[in-house]
Amino acid sequence: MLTGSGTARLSMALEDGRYSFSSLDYNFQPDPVPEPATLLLVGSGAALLWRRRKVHP
Amino acid sequence: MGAPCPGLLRLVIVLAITVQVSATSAAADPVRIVGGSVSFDTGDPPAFSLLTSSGQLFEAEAFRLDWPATCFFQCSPGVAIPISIGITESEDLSMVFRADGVDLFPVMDLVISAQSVTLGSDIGMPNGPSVDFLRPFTFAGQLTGYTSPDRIGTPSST
Repeated sequence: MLTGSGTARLSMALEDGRYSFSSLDYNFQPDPVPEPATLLLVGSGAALLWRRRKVHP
Repeated sequence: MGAPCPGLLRLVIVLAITVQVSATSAAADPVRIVGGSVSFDTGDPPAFSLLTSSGQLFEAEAFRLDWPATCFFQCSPGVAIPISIGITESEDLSMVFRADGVDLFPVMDLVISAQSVTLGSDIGMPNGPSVDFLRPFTFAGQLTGYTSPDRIGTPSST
């Protein structure tokens, strides 16, 4: 199974107020997915801050 | 050596569970498309290239696009143009499909889903004699490459 997302660009020629098809492009963009290591880093920082506040209120 | 602070211990356990759940869901995720494009216009043959999160590069020519070609010729403002499309392999034997540079015979069933564009109601960006309309889209499907033209046996690429 493949999944993805991105932005589609529909180009329409415009002449005398009327439209006609020119092109249709779909460009894929990487989804920002948090890495487990990043989550661990952020979580550890939060835990340290929370502990410091408890020890030195 | 004293017992660890119960609050800190609780936090460490919660963190460990969070990381484990995150790692498990990432491992179970389908292969994601991280680059590439699908393009067609009124002149050149359509172009297709996909780069996946596992590093595979798929390219194809002469594939089949299932698109309701509303406004391919002239139409007036107020018309809604669907831009969701289906992509399948062409029945034309001259189709070219490559996975990581190797020519293969594909089985494709891909769907790109996006909201329609309504001419006149949507604000487009002028681009010379054309007007461009942008829409976010999502993509899902199956893509398998076989070394034999009968497309049976063990796929060499998915």
